[in-house]
Amino acid sequence: MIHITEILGHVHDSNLSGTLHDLSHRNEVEYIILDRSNLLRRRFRAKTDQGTDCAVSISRLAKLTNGAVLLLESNRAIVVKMSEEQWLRLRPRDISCAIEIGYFAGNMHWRVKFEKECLSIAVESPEEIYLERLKDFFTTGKIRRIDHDE
Amino acid sequence: MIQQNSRNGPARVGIGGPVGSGKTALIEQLIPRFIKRGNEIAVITNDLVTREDAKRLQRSGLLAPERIVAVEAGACPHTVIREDPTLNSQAAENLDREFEHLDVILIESGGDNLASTFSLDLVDYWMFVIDTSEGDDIPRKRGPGIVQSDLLVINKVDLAPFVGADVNLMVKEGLEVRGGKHLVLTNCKTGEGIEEVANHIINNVLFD
Ligand SMILES: Nc1nc2c(ncn2[C@@H]2O[C@H](COP(=O)(O)OP(=O)(O)OP(=O)(O)O)[C@@H](O)[C@H]2O)c(=O)[nH]1
Ligand SMILES: [Mg+2]
Repeated sequence: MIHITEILGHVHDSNLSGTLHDLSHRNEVEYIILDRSNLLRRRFRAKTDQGTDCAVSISRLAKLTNGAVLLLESNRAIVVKMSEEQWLRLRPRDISCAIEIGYFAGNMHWRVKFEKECLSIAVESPEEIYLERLKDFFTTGKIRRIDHDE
Repeated sequence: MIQQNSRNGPARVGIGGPVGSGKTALIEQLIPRFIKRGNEIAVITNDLVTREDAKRLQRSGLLAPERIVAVEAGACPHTVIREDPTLNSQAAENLDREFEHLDVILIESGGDNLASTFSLDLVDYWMFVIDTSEGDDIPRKRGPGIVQSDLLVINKVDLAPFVGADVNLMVKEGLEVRGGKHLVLTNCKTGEGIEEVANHIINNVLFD
C-alpha cells in the first residue's frame, strides 16, 4: 500500500510534465480513476488502473482535480483521472412539459445542464434509477430521450 | 500508526439513516472497539433542536464527555450534512484542534428520510443505517442514502422474525440497487456484525 498525503501538482505543470512524458513512454504512469463526485474526497482507499493499492489522505484544504499528480518517482507516477461524465439528455414536448420536468429534476436534487431545448441530467447513480423516476414523463410523451444531436 | 493516521487530520465518518434505526446504538458499539485498538475518537451528534443523543453518549461513560459535541440542525437534518455542512465542519475542526492525536471523528446525522446523503466535503466515508422493522422493501425503494452510501448497515436483524421481514431479500435487493457495494447486517443490542463495520472503516479511512 502506498500512502499519499499531498498533491504534487498538475500534469501540465512545466516542472512535472517532462518527467511524466518520459514515464508514460515506459508505461509507468498509473491512474486513479474517479468520477466527479468522488473527486471531492480527501481520504480514501483506491486502486490504480494497474492494481496498485493507494491510501490517500490529503489536506482538507486541498482539492483533487482531473490531472492531479499524486506520486512522482523515477519509475512510477500516479495521476488522478476523472471518468467521463454520463448525461441523460431529454427534450420536452412543449413549454408546459419543460416547466414540469425542470421542477421535477430540481426536486430530485439532480445536477442538470441546459442545452438549447434540452435538459441534460448528470447520471451519478445507475441510469435505471433515473429512468424509473422519469417513467411517467416518458409514457405520457412529455419528454423524449435524445441520444445524439437531432 | 497513530502518527500516520493523524497526518492531515482525523478521518471523518458520517452515520445517517431514518429516525430510530440505531445510529446512536451503532456508535455506542463502535466506540469501545476503536478504543481497544488504540484509536483516539470523538463524536459529533446532530439533533433538531435538542442535544439528546450527545447527552446519552456522554452519560454512557464510553468516552470522555468533552469528546462528544452536539450540533443543532435547527431545520432539516440533511441541511447540515449536505447543503451547508459548515457547522459540522467547524465542530470537527474544533475537536481536531483540541485533541491533537484524534484518529477518527464519527458524525451522526439527525434521523431523516431515505433521501439524505452526506457531503463528501464534510466526511471521508459514510454509512446509512436502516433496520429490518422499517419493512423489507426499504432497499428496493432506492433512496439516495441507500444507493450512494459507502456502506449500508441493515440493523436490528434480531427483530426481523417479529415483523415478518425477509433479511435475505433485503440483502439481495440491497446489493442489486447498490451495484455490489458493501452492506453489513448488524444487531446493535448484541454487537453482531459490528466488527465488520469497524473493519470497513479501518480499511477505507484509517488504513492500518
Ligand atoms: N432489538 C434491537 N433494538 C435496537 C437495535 N439497535 C437499536 N435498537 C433500539 O432502537 C431504538 C433506537 O435506537 P437509536 O440508537 O436511538 O436510534 P437512532 O437512529 O440513533 O435514532 P435517532 O437519532 O432518534 O434518529 C433504541 O430503543 C435502541 O435500543 C438492534 O439491533 N436491535
Ligand atoms: Mg440517535
